[in-house]
Amino acid sequence: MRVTQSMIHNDLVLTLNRQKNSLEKVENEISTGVKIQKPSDDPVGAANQNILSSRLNEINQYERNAGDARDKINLIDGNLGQVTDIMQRVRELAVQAANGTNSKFELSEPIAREIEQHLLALVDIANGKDSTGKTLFGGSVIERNSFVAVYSNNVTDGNLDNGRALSGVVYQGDILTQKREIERGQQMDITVPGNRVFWGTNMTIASNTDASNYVARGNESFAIDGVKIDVAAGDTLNEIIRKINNSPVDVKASIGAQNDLVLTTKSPHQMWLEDVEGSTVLQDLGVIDGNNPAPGNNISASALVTGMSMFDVIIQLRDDLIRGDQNQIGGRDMEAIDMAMDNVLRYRSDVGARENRLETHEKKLASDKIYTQDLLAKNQDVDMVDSIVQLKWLESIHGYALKVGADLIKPTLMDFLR
Amino acid sequence: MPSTFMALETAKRGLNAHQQALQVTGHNISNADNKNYSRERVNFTAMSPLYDPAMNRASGAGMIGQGVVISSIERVRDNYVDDRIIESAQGKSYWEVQQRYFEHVETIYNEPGDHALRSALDNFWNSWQDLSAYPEEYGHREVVKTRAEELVSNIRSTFEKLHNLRGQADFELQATVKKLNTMGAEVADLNKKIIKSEALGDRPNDLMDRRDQLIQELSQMADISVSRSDAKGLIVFIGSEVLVQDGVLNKLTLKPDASNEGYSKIYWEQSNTEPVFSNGSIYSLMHMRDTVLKEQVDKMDLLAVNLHDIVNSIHKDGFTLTGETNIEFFKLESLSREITGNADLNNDGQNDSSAVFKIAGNNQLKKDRPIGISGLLTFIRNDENHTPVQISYRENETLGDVIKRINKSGAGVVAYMDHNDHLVLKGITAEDNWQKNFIIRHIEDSGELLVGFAGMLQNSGASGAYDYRRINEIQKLQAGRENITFSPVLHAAGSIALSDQIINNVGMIAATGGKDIGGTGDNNSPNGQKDGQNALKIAQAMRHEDVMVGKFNNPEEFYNDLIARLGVESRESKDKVEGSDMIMKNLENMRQSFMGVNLDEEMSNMVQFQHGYNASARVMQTINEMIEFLITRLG
Repeated sequence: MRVTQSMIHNDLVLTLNRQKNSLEKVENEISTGVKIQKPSDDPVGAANQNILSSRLNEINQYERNAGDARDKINLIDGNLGQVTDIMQRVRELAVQAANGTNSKFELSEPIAREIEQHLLALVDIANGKDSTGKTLFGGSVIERNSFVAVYSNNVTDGNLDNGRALSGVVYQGDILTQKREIERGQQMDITVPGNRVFWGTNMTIASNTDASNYVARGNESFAIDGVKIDVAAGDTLNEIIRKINNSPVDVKASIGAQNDLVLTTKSPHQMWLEDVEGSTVLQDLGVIDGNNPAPGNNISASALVTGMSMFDVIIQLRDDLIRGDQNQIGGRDMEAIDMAMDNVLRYRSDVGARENRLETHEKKLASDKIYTQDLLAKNQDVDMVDSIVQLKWLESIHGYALKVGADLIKPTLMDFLR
Repeated sequence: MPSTFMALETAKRGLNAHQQALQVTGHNISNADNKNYSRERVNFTAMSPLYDPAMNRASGAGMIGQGVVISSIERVRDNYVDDRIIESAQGKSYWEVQQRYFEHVETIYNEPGDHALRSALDNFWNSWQDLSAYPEEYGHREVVKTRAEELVSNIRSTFEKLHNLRGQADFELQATVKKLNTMGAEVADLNKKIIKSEALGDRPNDLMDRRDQLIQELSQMADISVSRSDAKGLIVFIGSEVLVQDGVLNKLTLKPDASNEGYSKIYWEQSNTEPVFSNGSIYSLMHMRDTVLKEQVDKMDLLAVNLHDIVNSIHKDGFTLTGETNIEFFKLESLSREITGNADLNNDGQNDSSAVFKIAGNNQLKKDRPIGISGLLTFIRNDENHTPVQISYRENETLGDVIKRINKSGAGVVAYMDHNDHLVLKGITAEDNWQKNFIIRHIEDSGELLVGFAGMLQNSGASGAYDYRRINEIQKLQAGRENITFSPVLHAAGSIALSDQIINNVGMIAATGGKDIGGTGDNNSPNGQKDGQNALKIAQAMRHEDVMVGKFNNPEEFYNDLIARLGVESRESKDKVEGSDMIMKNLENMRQSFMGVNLDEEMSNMVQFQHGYNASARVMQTINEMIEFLITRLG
């Protein structure tokens, strides 16, 4: 085949160009440490890079969330621990008082006073704040204290301090829990609402309104403890009771002596009742006060309510001490104290279980993170040794090509003609 | 007896011939580096000898040779390889343009990396997560606002750069067409000259070289082919239409196309028809401008429209720090200027269509329960033909099944369940005309699924169908005004921004959830300030919920696919260019092998001709001496 100078030249230029391209690519890799500069360098790798980086960012966020959650739960646990300690002390005092050897003075003065102090301490703990100064036990309500003490001048049989003493503690929060997302689609509750943990005995609400002729007008709904219960048009009281009992809420419904609706909690907590989206079912049944339907202290005045919060239990004990009623102290009051303590313990162990779960979860996140970082590195990071060896190899090839090329393009016949 | 001076004449002819040969050699040598030059070869022929066999021939030994003449200066060229090169140049040029522009696009997106759109989306998600933990804190709100601003400004700037790149492609297209016209004119001119010259018996080698060079350059621009069989010169075709014939050029002209944002459309000037390109840089630029880049711009618009709607629909259900609701987070201008959703799509000054992007039903539904009803849904595809797409549903299917089928059907809408468990239908990118992007075209239900079940349409059947080609169609919908989102103005990605309320006061970010007291159909009572569930819902919608961005489940999936596709297409163009380079190099070498100048060959020719010249000169000298002797010595 006939070969001309320009053919040799073409070949040489094209080859050198390609080598230069490879050299540039490797140099880039080494100086940036990054294999994939643009998606076209490695489309599949670039797509993986995208997904993995996003996932790593996600894991970091979840770690933050989980750490924050654990801090909060620790704090709650600590608070509940203090509550348990106080309840323990109150119980001891009750035992001591129930012991028949005390005089009325001994009951009312030192013991009752101490119990009053413990009560105030409990209210403080119930209004406890987290690291940013927001209330811990109020659900989502942080604009005001979770619990507010109600004072009265008429404490039974004698006033403790010339006047006012606590006659009750009202819950001002709501029942929403705070959630943190700790993994895709996994959320964890990190608070305990005050209407549950600071409750003592089971609560019963009997509406006292005859509902035998009640028929639901249209499709309505109401919510107990945040669980929505739908009522269809034409439902009578029996149907509604059945629906409540079939739902997952831990409240039992039944018909009372006056054909009224009776709701009883299955475990101690303050029931949260509301009519939803314009319905009036609970109002019509006489459970909720029509003038004040927003939940939290919205029970109708005509309804019969029994059940005590932890504070109510202690107030009852204090009042019995002032009256000197040792029978009640040893009987009814002790029982109530025990129930309250059991309730707190139940939530403490729940909180403890959550702590454990978070710890395990954090460990899992940490190992996920390492795994993802590993994959990312494999995908993206340049293996320096590899690249440098390749660089040297390319450089030497380039050198050979240059030398051969130079030798080829130089001589022509002209050099040899005289 | 032959003439006294015959030998002299012979020697003279020898000198002439060799001188000419040297001239040609010199021409070859000086054009050794001219890639388009085909070497010339002199053909020596002996002159017609004396005497012709005829009755009146002179007597004596014959035939007597008369020396040498140059019968032709031959141009050594292989037209077959030329034609192969013309074919390959088209493909190479096509892929080179694609590769160049794809590199630009990759630079615009700047992925993989930590400072581009993916990071902005990730950071946006992070900020809502952090806000959901501390919704009462101003600091976290400021971060949400900042991250949102980064996100929209990233989208806007990516859109602008892509849009400008389209303009650049258009500009290059115009310049290339003009260049094609200029070169075509020169080819026509050369045709004329070459024909004249050949008619006169000359070989216009250099003119033909120039013409071949022009044709090769033309072949980079379009799918050129050449017919050499015509006696009146080369005919140059684009596809099957004539560009140059004889000395006449069929010019191409450019006119702005209003249906394509004013970008240029190419016409034959004479017949006003559109030429058909199928290869070369002009075709590549048109493809890049009208398909590839337009798709990228459409994708940015899709992201912007859906981001705006997904975030706003959740945000409006939530509550601000001060307990207000129905606040928009992003703002985007609607196509329709009226509350009826009517718009003027054909720009004749009259409203002619309903431009709605999203419709949410009124009723809360469960995705995984059997629907218990059956019927037939009718949608239409987003193409010019308005092809209907029908989807049937049966009693034992769940709503989730029906949604999946709608999304896979190519129906021109996508469906999902929103954060309130309502059924939602959304428009997507148009297949026919980008001005109709993100408009729901047709919704019809023969049964109750969209009517009583989901609460979207008021009536079943064709009379209750919603169709965008009529005005005031939102009256056919049951959905309340806050459940309808109007279609955005053209190029949502260029105008998406944070709403003014958020910019002025980050307390307006609705992180808190709430409830509907009194059955108004809208949330009106906020939860306590510590509740951040609305912020959490927004975060989840960005990554993990099915909210449908086009046919992708959420913005995260959408963007991953965008980058993956970009990488593959860009890589393809690079690989094709490399392959074309190799092919061109081989063809070029084949051609050079045939027509190229080999300096060594020319050198030895030169020596040879020089000797020939010297020898002829010596003969002349000898004859000269002989004649001189005859004249001066005899007589």
